[in-house]
Amino acid sequence: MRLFLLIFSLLATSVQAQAPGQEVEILARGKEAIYKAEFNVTGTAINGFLAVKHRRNDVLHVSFTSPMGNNLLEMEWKKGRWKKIYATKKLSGKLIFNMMAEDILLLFAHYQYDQSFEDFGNEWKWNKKTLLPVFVDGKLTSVKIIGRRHHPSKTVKYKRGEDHIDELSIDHQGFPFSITLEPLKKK
Amino acid sequence: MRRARTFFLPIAIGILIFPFFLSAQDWKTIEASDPMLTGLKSTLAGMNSIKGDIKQEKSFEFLTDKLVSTGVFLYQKESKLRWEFKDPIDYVILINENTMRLREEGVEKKYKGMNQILRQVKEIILGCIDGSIMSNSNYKTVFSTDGTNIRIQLQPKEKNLKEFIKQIDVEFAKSGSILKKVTLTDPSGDMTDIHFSNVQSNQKIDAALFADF
Repeated sequence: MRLFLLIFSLLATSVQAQAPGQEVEILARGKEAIYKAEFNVTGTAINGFLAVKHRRNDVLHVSFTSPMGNNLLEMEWKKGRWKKIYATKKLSGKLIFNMMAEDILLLFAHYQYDQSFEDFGNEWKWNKKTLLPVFVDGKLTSVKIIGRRHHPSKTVKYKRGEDHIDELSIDHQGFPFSITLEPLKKK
Repeated sequence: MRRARTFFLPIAIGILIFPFFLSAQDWKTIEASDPMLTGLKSTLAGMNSIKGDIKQEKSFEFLTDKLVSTGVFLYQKESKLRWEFKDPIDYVILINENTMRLREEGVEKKYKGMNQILRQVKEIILGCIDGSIMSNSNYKTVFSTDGTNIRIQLQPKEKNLKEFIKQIDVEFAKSGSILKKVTLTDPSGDMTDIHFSNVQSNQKIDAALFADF
């Protein structure tokens, strides 16, 4: 019986594990990048730059600044929670802030560093949501995020160049909210 | 041996810290009534137009890389400004007296919800260029000089301004009263340095550049 349980658990683990050669990481540990960013918040497009650092301890530090250089939003994801450092009025409402915070984690596929992330191969579970990844040539090209019933879905898309991502975007179905990022420096 | 130690130790410490004194600019505080400042104000008042290149460097406390933007600026008395970044994104702010327009990546933007920020940006940029920020009562002002440059340090007094900016440092070359550098410090401590070069004053500027993109 014990042997049967052991074999079964080993089989279950191998089914859950990501297929070998599939690349999910968007910004590797210890890396940083600056992106040209467009936040489309309920009909208002806000352009600027998004500076991101993935620290070695998996803390994600994010800062969104206007082209004039002033900070519009700064936050840090640590131990499964976002800490707001600064947010301008337009971006500090609870609904908008939470949506942005979750979308940034989705864009950088940073959910994989969260304890609640579960990998079932073709389907992932995170934050009570189902994530449906699509890989092309072993590289992540899109993720459809399905929340609770009757809740609109979201889609993350990665436009890939030869050895880097040219554009990453997230769109909400039926809700005017989107984020589009283009790296300034290829990392 | 003890005597030698007491003799050489202060010398060794002196040698170690001497370069820091050498590298630091020696800024001396001056009064608002200092002739250097009155001279700067009258020169700026006599400038009908200014144009030049801008190089903006934004430093993030958590990042090793800096965000560098380059472009040009054109100013015409009274209150006409074209502030244009060409790289890494196309971004133009057009100020024509009471109107303000914004273009990002070739598209004119409505700045609904961003009014307060843009109003502050307008006040700060125009104030730094024409010198009016020196007498703006919304800021606590400290003037200083290192002999060749004049520096104005401004700290906002009002709470809503403090939420937006912690400090503004404006630097003019003493000779010719040319704007050299503006440093904006965010409440988080992040800094944005704007370096001005090829600055020319009282040159003819096509009025159409302030009227449309």
